[in-house]
Amino acid sequence: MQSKYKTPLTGLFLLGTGLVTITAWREDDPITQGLLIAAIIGLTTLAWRHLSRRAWTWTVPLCALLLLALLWHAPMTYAIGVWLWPIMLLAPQPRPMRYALLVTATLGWWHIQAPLGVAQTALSGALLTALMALGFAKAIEHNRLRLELERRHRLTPENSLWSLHRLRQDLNVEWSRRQRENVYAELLVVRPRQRGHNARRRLKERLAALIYVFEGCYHVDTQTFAVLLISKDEHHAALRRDAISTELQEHCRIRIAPVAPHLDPVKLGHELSVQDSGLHVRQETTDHA
Amino acid sequence: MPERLSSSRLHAVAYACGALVLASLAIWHYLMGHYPRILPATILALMVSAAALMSEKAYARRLPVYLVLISGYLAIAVEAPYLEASGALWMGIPPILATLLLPPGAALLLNVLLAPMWLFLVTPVLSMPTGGLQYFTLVIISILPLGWYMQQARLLKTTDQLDTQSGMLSRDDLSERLIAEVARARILNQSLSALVIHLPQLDMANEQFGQTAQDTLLTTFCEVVQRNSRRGDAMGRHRHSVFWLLLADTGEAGALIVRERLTHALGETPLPEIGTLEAQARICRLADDEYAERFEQRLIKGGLNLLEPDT
Repeated sequence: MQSKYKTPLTGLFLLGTGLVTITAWREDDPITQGLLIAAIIGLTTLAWRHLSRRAWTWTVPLCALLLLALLWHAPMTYAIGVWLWPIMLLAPQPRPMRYALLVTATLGWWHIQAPLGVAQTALSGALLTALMALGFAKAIEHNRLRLELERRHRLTPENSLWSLHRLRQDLNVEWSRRQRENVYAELLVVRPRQRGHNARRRLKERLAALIYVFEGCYHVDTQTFAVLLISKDEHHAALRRDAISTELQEHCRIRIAPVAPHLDPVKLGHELSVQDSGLHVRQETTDHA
Repeated sequence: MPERLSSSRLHAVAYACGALVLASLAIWHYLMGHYPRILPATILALMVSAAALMSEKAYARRLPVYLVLISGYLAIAVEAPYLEASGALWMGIPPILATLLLPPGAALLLNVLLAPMWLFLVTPVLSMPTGGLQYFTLVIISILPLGWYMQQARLLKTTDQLDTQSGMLSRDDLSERLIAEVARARILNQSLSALVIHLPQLDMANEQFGQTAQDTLLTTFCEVVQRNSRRGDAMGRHRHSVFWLLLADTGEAGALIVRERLTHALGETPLPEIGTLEAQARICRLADDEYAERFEQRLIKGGLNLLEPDT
């Protein structure tokens, strides 16, 4: 991950974690302390993993449940937490989660109403509704950004790792160029045998070193990478295929297919994930007659 | 269905709800006989109602936001001395309001700057360390999702490849693509040509006919070029009115044909006000032992020559 794009926000996350830690430390009640510690774990995970969507998908419901439990257990001490519901709507999450948050917000507000009295309960409820609407408005404003992010081609600023969206486009382009320029193009999908961030990073670096500047390296899913290999003819393609597979086979499983009009990289990635052998080369099925 | 509602409509709903809260507060004060406190609540309710009415108007984007923010702050400040144990609850409103209404940086700054005031207002019910801790935890945690969006927006900006106006490759990415195409031509033993296209009307369109005409001109030009070039031929914008079209596996003769076809197609495309499109194009072919940098220099020079034909 790129430290350059991470530092200030990680700092803010850690600051938030620190503040929650102090709250937990000053707290006497063990249950409340337990809830706050769970929140600290969630926030710390996000501090290091906030770029991944998966981290957000499980942290938002976790935080919602923790806040609900906190409001249920100690309604008056942490009443201020009730205003965090509209903020949770802003975090990246699927749409059903936003509706679930509306329900949890109502429950949370219900927990604090007993000590408040009728007037303040009604006012705080109406105000919470208004703030939830504002939260939804802000979430909608961010939707456009989310869509653009999903559609973007280049995944990281400093090296050329491209998105699946771009791979689909490039496959079409390469198919037409293959016919026009009489070159040979094939798609190589590769998956490291080891899991984990470091194995993927090493593989990415090795792939970048093995391909030419005009061939792209793509991200198919979290575990699978793809490379478009372009060679003069089938003979050259076989030479390169051999060179690359001997280089990578020790740590990865590889599947190669010639570029064809309906070649689906995701399907190829699935086939790779269930493949037994280290290397599988799909033969060309189309006849050129 | 929130996603189907527009953001400004939701703002209006939220403000209307806020106005309702303040109006109910005024009525409550009337019923309870707190006559001096009715007037501020009524005025603030009117301010928020005005904001609700204004929020769907395009000409005043920021004004309703400021009105609501100021009303919210004043309402809490006026009511704070009378709140008892629940003061801690209401202290959370100002920072959340700022976070939801302002850009993240401004919201954080305002929340930190105003912290002493809110903390001073709640001291009667909540000791300073506890109140301060709760307030700052709320401020920091509420800014986190927005910080994430800000960072993602920055990532998008640094990885964005296309020229924002024309949707073609931007200057840096065009240069990167050129290097890749030169390498490809070398390794696959192919020839590579490029068309440097100058669209003089683009320089004048904005001054003479306005921004919309310029945008139409640009989109039409892109469409025509795309229709008349092969899939995979990279088109990019090198300068305001100079474009490069990279033609892979194309020699001089092929490039000439493309140029003819393109100028003909542009000449057949009339636009209101502007007339037919006129473009000048120059062909550059990659020499056998030429480096990418040198070829790029030649393309740049070709573009300059088209811009200033006399020199």
